[in-house]
Amino acid sequence: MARKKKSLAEEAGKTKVEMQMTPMIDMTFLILTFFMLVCHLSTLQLEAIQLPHADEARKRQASQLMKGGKLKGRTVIVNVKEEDTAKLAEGERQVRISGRIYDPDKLKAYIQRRAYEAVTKYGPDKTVPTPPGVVVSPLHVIIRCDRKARYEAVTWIMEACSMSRPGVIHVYMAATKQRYPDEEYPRNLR
Amino acid sequence: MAGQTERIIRESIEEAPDLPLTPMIDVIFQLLIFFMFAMKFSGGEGWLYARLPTNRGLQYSGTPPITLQEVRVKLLWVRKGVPNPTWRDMIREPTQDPTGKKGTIYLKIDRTPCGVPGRPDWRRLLERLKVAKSRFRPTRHYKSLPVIIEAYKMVPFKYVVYALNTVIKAGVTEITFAAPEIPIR
Repeated sequence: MARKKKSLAEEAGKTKVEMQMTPMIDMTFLILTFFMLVCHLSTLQLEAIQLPHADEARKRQASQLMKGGKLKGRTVIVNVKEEDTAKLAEGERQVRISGRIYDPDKLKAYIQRRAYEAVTKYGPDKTVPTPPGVVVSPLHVIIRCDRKARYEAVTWIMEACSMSRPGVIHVYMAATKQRYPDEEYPRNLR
Repeated sequence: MAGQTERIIRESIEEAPDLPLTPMIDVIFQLLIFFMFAMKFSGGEGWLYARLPTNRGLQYSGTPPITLQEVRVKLLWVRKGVPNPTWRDMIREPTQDPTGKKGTIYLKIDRTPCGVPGRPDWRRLLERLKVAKSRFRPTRHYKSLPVIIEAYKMVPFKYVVYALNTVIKAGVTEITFAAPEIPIR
């Protein structure tokens, strides 16, 4: 009995603890692949913009609404940076969609094409009453405009939506609940 | 000689190739740390819904319904240093203020100022909207108070969002955006 215990103790002392490298490398590759894909996709539509503060803004549910939900394939995100409206007096007018720059004329053509495609694929929007003969597209336009950019840029986008045939009426203004150091809007306004 | 050759061949077949894992893991961790820091999370972003009117634009040939009860929230861009700006002090075009430093924000609801130029009073705007909403009587075209937000081109976008935020706080659902009025001189 004592001899058996001794031999077990000897074996335990001699046994080496080995670290399994293979599963660790597998997990590391998976995490790496994940970050590589997510990093690339996240910069395509959402430019780095300082959004204006609005405490009534509904929390963005992009993953629910856009990827797997009701608005899948029916959204256009238009980004406007502060530098895009810095030279309005010189006639420079531009907005950005998925990293590409559009002037107001190209923007109108793009919105019109997307509105038409949305109606062809999903049918006209019937959630709001419309005058007879008016076709409304189910396209949703999200405007992500820098807080210091001039309002004129937003008027181009709205004009493109209004002038589009079929019409685009669902417009969202992106905002953030974050408050900036130079924030002018009063807190807890009720 | 033949025996030696056989031994070399056997050893080369039996020898298992070694893959040095340590430098590979180091490089993988470097890449992982890079992508983790390069990825940006956008936090706290939300949306404010602003439905455009269906009765305007290319495809509509009628006249938009008008109601005298509608409320206009005006975001004007006026010359700095003028306490009571008139139409002469309005900056409507970017060419009048290319850098944006000559003008300042001036908030009005219909013809009533809310605050002074450069310091808009959002509380006053909210109070007036609530009063207008309580006095509104539904019509055939409008079931609730229609509010039109109009802003001059040079107004920074944050003020437009503040106005929209305040209008939503007042419980208004019929919100539209308009091009600014051009006064008859």
